[in-house]
This record gives sequence, structure tokens and C-alpha cells, in this order.
Amino acid sequence: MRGLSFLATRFLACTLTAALCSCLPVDTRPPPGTLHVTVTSDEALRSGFDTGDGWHIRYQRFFMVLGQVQVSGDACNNYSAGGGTGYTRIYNMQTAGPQKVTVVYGLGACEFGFRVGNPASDSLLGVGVTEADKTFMRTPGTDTYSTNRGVSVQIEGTAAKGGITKRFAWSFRQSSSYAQCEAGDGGAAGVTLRGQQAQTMDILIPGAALFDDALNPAHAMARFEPFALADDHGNRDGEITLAELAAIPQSVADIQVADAGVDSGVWTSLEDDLYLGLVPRIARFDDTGSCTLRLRQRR
Amino acid sequence: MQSTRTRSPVGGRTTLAPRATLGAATVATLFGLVLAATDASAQPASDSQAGAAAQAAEAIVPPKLRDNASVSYPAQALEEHFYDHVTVSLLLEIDTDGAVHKASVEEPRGHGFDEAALAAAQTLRFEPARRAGKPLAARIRYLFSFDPPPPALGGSVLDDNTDVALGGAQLAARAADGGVLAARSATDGSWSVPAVAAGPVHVTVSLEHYVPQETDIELVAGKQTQVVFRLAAQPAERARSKRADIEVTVHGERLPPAVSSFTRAEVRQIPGAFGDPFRAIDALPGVTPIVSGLPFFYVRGAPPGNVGYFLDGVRVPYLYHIAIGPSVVQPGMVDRVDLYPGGYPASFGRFAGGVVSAETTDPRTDPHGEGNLRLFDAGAMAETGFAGGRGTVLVGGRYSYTAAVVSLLAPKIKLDYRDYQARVSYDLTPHDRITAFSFGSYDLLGQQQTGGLNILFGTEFYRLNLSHEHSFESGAVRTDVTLGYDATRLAAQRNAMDRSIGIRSQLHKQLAHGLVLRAGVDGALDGYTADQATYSDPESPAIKAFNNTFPPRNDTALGAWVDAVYDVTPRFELTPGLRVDLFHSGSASAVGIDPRLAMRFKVSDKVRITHAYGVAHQPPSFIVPVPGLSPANLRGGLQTSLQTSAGVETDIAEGTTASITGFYSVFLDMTDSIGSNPTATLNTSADNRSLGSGVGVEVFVKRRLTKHLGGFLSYTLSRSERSLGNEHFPSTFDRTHVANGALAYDLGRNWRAGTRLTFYTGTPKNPTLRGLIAPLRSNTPDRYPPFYRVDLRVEKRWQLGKSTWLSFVAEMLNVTLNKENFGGQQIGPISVPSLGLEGGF
Repeated sequence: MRGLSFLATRFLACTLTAALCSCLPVDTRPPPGTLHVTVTSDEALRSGFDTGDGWHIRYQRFFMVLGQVQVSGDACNNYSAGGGTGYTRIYNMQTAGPQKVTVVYGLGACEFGFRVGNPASDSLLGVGVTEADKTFMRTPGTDTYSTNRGVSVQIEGTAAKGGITKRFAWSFRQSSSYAQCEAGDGGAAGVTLRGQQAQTMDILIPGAALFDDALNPAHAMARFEPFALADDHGNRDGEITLAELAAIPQSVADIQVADAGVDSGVWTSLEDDLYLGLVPRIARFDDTGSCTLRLRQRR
Repeated sequence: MQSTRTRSPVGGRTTLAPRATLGAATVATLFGLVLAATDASAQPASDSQAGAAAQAAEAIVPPKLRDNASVSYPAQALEEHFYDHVTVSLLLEIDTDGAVHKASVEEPRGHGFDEAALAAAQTLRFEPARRAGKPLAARIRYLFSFDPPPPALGGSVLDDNTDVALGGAQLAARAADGGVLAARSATDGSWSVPAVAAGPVHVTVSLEHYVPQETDIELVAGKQTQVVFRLAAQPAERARSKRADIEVTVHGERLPPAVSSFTRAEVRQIPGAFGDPFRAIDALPGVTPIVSGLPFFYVRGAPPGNVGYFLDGVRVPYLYHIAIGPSVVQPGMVDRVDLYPGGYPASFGRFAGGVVSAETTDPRTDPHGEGNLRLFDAGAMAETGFAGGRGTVLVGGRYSYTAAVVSLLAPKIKLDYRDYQARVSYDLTPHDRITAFSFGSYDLLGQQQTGGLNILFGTEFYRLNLSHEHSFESGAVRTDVTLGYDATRLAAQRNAMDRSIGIRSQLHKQLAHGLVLRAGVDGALDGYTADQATYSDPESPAIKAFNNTFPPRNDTALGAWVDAVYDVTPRFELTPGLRVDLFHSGSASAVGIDPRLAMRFKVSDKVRITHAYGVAHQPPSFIVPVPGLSPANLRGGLQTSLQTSAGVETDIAEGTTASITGFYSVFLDMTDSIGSNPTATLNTSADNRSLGSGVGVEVFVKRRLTKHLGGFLSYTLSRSERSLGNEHFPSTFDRTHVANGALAYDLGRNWRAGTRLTFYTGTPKNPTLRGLIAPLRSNTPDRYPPFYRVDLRVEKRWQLGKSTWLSFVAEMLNVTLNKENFGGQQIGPISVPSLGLEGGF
């Protein structure tokens, strides 16, 4: 019986050890760096601005759905992978100051990306955004570029010049993905995260960029005249619609924002310029940076 | 201890004296009778002369036996199946020194008795006869009595339908005097009881999931009686489909391997199963794979998360190692794997879609073991007895060295899996056995990144089961206590864990001829916890949804069940059952009441009709089982399934069976919303409940794979639908046609080859999401392309001794390197080559 007792004791000791001790390792990674991602609007967006051709523009409503931050790469260890950075938030960009997009933890040199797109059912509400706003943004609609989609960017405002006032209220339903973002002026690609160091990466939404006449901000000037022209060629009711913009040929608008890679046969109107060229480029990485932009295919 | 009865030639007194030198069950009777006492001339005397001399000379003292002789029941008689009691009368001439001078047989008996008696006579030593103190030669009649050995009773227990050997069956032999001897069939089905008295004996046999049998036999002294019981599976098992009575009702590898290792041999012959009984499951009708080679499958329309896995009645979260790895239990210790696709016995509950139940081999006291060495891993098991055979100890395990292999191909990838099994059993009495069984499994897939190892997939579970089984004349009682630990690595490098304790007790008892009662109670407590997501965005809806769906909590489940196997007539079996479960999670509770009914009707000796009906309840579950993680939204109610099936089984020819079964299942409040909506996310679908159904026909034809040419054809025509809101559509993994066919051929010289073809229809295409509101899904959607694959297997086997063997096995799953379409994406090819050595002793 002593042998039996010995065997039983050893057996129970071994098996209990195996059964009660987890073998899956705990998180042994070193402390990560922290990246606070924010979005900020400039003064022009909040208070209005003058265009180069003499119009004064003031936004009454500037909502964007932004988020789904991606931090990745071979040299990057994203501690937050699967940790919930894939959500979006509806922002009222007329709110002053930086607004939180998300917080990311990681180490190494990481590529950075984000997305402007349709709101999801679990999209969060930014400052000054109500459930009613969310309902509006999630209401499906169809336009030249999207079918049965919600609103990614909602812009409403007025433009005034010499006693003439034009109004606009545009819903953009296109989704835009921004990847491999790089800092401006030859800056570093993406973001480098170092252990126990916190840093902030801001996405700037410059208000005047919506009416730039060139892709390169350094060579661009905000011009509203082509947009006013659309209403003048339309029903002259003072309300500039996307349909009226679609009637203005690109050659007439003389806005050079068409992507070199886009078929010119597809990109033909001022509506194209605005929808495919200007709106997707209104979000700028780290102020002067740039990203590889990917748009959903035109419907 | 054996004994011999000796009658003194002098006084005729009967004594009973211990003797350990005689052969087993052999008794020699010595009866001496003084026939004559003569002078030293030792002349033969007639009986009348001897009698006259005895009367005339009172002073004559007859010879007295001094040294006994050992005799055994002649081997020749046993070989000639002669078992009668025999007395051989010898005439002995004893000289004056007491030695046997001459011996002769008075009346020959044959069968070796005469020779045995004469040989024994030469060893007899007497005190010589005397007259007036003077030694005299004498002639006496001497009787050798041969009692046959006690009758031997044994035999085997087989599955009536498949001839698979059944281990663990309880046998009881009741003799006419009321004495009962019990036995348990070994893994090869053999059984025996020692030293049964001759005469009528009533033998009963019972085994869980099988219809008990009994028989009356007349034991003849010395005669070895072999009784072969062919047990019929209970109707529920039969009707659930032909699970087929194929390899899934299979015995694991028996040791030592021999021609009798029928069941495991069959499993080995299924290409693509890698000799693993668990992997034979996906070849059965009613089973629909999600992706070829992966161990997750639908059963009659129920998703993998609704299929329960049990090992010796112990709930386990999964059966296979990561991806296409081997099973988490050494095949050598798996005695049987049963698939219950529906209408399962009342002892199984808390799973709404099906049950896969495996049983380990019965403890063996003879040293044995087996192992294998493959490209990616090595495994072995060994078992032996101790304490004079009252106890056994078994250890086994598998270890992968994939890290070394994979690192050559992908240096940053770490892949690791291992498992262990340990079991100690001890027979406290011939009717009481205690067993401690511990087993566990570990899987890890990680990627080296800046700052350390990122675990992409990690899971583990461990069990310690302590059981006591008491068998009695007409049944048995078993009580188990199980401790468990499950864990899974989640996103954000945190672990979800489930620490559990379960208690269950079950009884099966034969109440009367043709009536067996089974009943049990069980309870389980699961404590779920999860590490905090240290490096996550606390505002994230996904994190919030996860925490809401999987909060730390204790879940309890209490159940009671009863059923009865009743032979209404010799041809009609009826098994009604009822199971009641009470579930509690967080602050919510729910009750599941599960009636079950199974029937089996023998139309003829070769044709059977089966029916099975049942209700099953289950708490919310994932579409696939995840160790340590279980949804807590019990407020939405239990998942419910209503299961029906009816079929016909027939024995076509020797070794060939066929069956066809129709089934219809209804699923209520299913939580496989991901299965019904592949674009759903956790935070949007956790509370979605769907209504579903599964209907189909299963056909299974099988010729034993161990035949010179064996094989099977398994085909399922089915339709699995879901209703979600106002949508009605095929289930995400609905496959209209699923077919498996296999052939195994004996090439001679211990070479054997096999091939298997697997085919199934593609899954439905979902409409492209073009906005916030997806288009309604069609009930007749287009489908992705079908998939097929071919598996091959070749084995060369060497028999190195009576019980030692070695095999070289080359096997490959998906030799055609076909890619599979999964949700619109081409994946694969998932092809698994396997080269290895297997051996055992």
C-alpha cells in the first residue's frame, strides 16, 4: 500500500500542478509607448474665412465621421491590436480644440492610417453631437457616387460676396481610407512609439481646404467663384446643390484637384472635384503631412 | 487454493487436505482395496482367493499407502473435449518392500486416463502387507478417480452491427446456488469468470448505450463455454443516424495489435484521419465541415458551438490541437467515439446541436504502450498494473516540435502544442473501483515582434476527474467529481479563463428482463474571469460589448435525468427519457425541460427501423467553442432544438451495412448570429437570436475497412436555414451536398493503401453590402464554387514479435492541393502531409 500511496500522491501532485497552473504566458511585453490620436479644426472652419476670390465663407454645420485608426507594420508592435481602435466617432468640427480619436499603445516604427466613412451603429458621439445627428448621419441615401449609404461628411454653410449670399448643404457619403501617412516636409513616415513615452498625433481639418483650387496646399488658393457659378447656371435660388455642381465642367471650374491616377473620363465635373478631390483631402495628417488615399469605387 | 480429496486404502476415511502440486482443477482420488495378500512369491491371486485369504488370516495386515501420487485430468481428454468424471481401476502387485511391482488396468477408459493412472501408480509407495509382522507381496485393486476441472466460462462482447469489440461491459454469472461472479470485458471484448460450478448459469451483460442481454446456459464440468454477446446499440444511438456505426462508434487502438485489433485498424485505414478516431467524425453523414481539415463542423444544421464534446463524460472545450493538429487525447487510449447528431440519450444535455462522446480504454494490468513519431510531433502512452493487478497506472502525451520546423520556414512564427494524460485506477473490491484521470491540452501560435512575442492564438484546458464506480449484480453506480481550467488568449494579449467544478452521479440498473433503468444527477459551476485589457481604448465599443457579453461571473447548471430501455417485444425497443436542467448566470435563470424518445423496430434479422425524437436546451454560445469564454446573456433565454429522425438500417452482406436516415431539426433562439450573418460583429450581434432549421437525408454504406477491400460512402443531402428579423436564408455554412468516399486495399506483404474523396457544395453567397442596410438575403442565393479533395494513405507494417509492431505511415490530406472558397476568398490549399513511424508493444 505504501507504493500505491506514493504513486497516488505523485499523481495528484503532478496533475493538480498541471491543472491549476495556467501555461499560457501572461503579457510579458515591455511597457509600450502611448499615442493619443486627436482631430482638430482650424479657426477658419470654426469662424469663417475669406477666399482668394473675395467670398467670405462661414460654416453652419461641419460634421465628420472619423476613426478606425490603424497602427501597423513589420517594425511595429501594436499592443492595441484587437483592443478596440477600430471604432469611429461623429465629430462636430466646429468644436474648438483637439478632440480624441483614440489612444493606441505600441512600440517601434509604425505605419499610421485612419478612415473617414459612414457611421456605424456603435459609432460614438463627439462633443456637440446628438443622437438626432447620428440618426441623420446614418440615414441611407444615394448620390452620384454612393448607393444606400449614410453620410460621412456633412457640410452646411454660406458664402457671401458683395451682397450676394449663396448657401450650400452637402452630404458626402463616400468613404476614404488614409494609409501610410507621412509627416510633411520630408518628415518621418508614420509614427515611432517608444516605451513609456506618450505623444500626440493630430489630424487637422482646415476649413478653407474645401475650396482649394490645387492639390498641393502650398500652391492652392481657396476659390468659391466656380461654386457660385454653378447656382448661377442652375436655378439661381442661392442654394448650391451637388446636381448644379455636376453641371459645371471641370474645364470651366478650373480647379486642378483631379488625381493623376483617375480616369479623366470619369472625373469631369465640379462635383467630381469636390466629391472625389477636395473632401477626401480635407483631413490632413499631422497638419502638413500626407497619406495614401483610397476611395471606394464610384458606383 | 486447490485441494485433493484422499481416501485412505485402509480405513476408507475421507479427508480434505490442501495440495498445491496438482494441476488446476484436477483431483485424484485414491481408493485402495486389498484384494490379496500372498507370500513373497507375489503370485497373482484371484478375488476369491484374496477374500478367502483375508478371512483365513486375521493376522494379515493389508498394504498401507505411504506416498501419494499426483495425477491430473489428462490433457488428451481435454483436447478431445471429454469432460466426464472417470475412475480407472488398476490391479497393483506390491512387493515386500512396498513398491508397485506391476500395474494393470482392469477396464480401459481411453482418452489418456489409463496411461495417466498407470504412470501415477509407479510412483505409489506402500507399507507392505504383513502377516505376523512379516512383509508379504500383495495384489490389490486400486482406483484412480479423475474429476474434470471446473467449467470455464468466458467469451466476448461485440457490437451487433459492426462487430466492434466492446470493452467495459459488465457481466454477471449467477449459478444455481445463487452465487454470482462478476466480470468486465477487456478492450478487445474478451471476458471470463473463474471457477464456476457446473450446472445452469444465468449470464447478464450490460454496457452503457447498449441494450442489455441475458442468457441461460448449462455449464458442463471441465468444458470451456464461450458465449459471444452481440449487443445492439440503444435506439437513440441507432436512430441518430448511422453515425455510423462506422469508425465513429469505434474503438481506439488496442494493444497489442493483432488481427483482433479490428476497430482501431479501421480508423487507421481512413485517409486524412491520421489514425485519429476523432478525425473520423467528419466522414460521417450529417456532418458538414466549415472548412476542409479544420475541426469545426455543423451537425445536422447546428453550428459547432452547439456541439458538445465529452471524454469519459467530462466536458471538454475541443478535441483537436490548433488548426489541423492531432486530437488532444492519445488515440491509443480512446476506446470509442460516438457522435450523437440528435435525439441523444437523456444523460447528455446542455448542448442543442449534437454530442461527440469519447470513452477511454478500460484499465489494463498487463504492461503495454504505443507511440508515434511524425514530422511535427511525437506522442506516446504506456500503462501497467500494480498492487497485484488491483491497480493500473497510465501516462501519455504528445509534444510538438513545430517550433523548430516552422522556424525554418517562418522565423518569426512560434507554433506549439502539447497534451498529457494520466490515469490511476484501483479496485478497492471486486465491485468498487476508484479512478483519478487527469488530462490537458495546450496550443500556442505567436509572432515575434518588436518588444516581444505577440500571441495570435493561444488556448489550453486541463481536467482532473475523480470517480468511484460500484458495480452490482444488475447494474452499476458511478460518481464523478471534476475540476477544470480553461483559458484562451484574447485580443490585446489578455486571457479569458473558466475555473470549473462538476459533480455527477449516474445509475444504470436492470429492473427486469428487458427493462433497464438509467438515471443521474449532475451539477456544474463555472467561474469565468478575464484579464483586463491593459492596452486598449476604454471608450471602444468593442471592448464595452465584450465586457457586457462576457462579464466575470459564476454560472451554475443543475440537471437530473432518467430514461429506460424497454423491450416492448423482442423486436421492438422503446427508450423514453427526460432531462431537466436549471441554469443560472449572473442574475438570470432559465429552465430546460428535455423529453427524449427513441425507438427501434426489427423488421427482420437484417433490417431495422429507427426513430429518435428529442428536445435539447443550451445556454448562449459562440458559433465555435472557445475555452474559457461563454456568453452571459441568459436573459435572452436558452437556445432550443427540436430534433427528429427516422431511418432504416440493413445488413447487406457479411461485413457490409447500409442505412438511410431522414432528419428534421428546428432551432429556436440560436445565438450563432455570426453564422447567420458573416458581416456581424460582436458588438452588433451578440444579442441577435435567430430561428433555424435543418432538414436532410443521410445515406451511409460501409464495408469494413479492414477487409481485403473495404470502404465506405457517406452522403448527406441537407438544407440548413435561418430566419433573422424578416429575412429567411440558408445558413452561412449550408452545404447542400456533402459526400465522403473511401477505399482501403490490402496490397499484401503488410502493405496497405487507401484513398478518400471528399466533396461538398459551396456556401451561399451573401449580397454585397453597399451601404448601411444590406440587401435582403435570398433564400435561393448563388453559391461559391464547390470543393473537393483527395487524401491518400500508405502503410507498411512489421510485426516484430508476438505483440510488438512497427509501422511506417505516409499520409496526406488534400493531395490535389485544392483551394477552398471561404466567404468569397480563396484560402489554402490546406494540405497536410504526414510521415511517421508508429509502434507498440
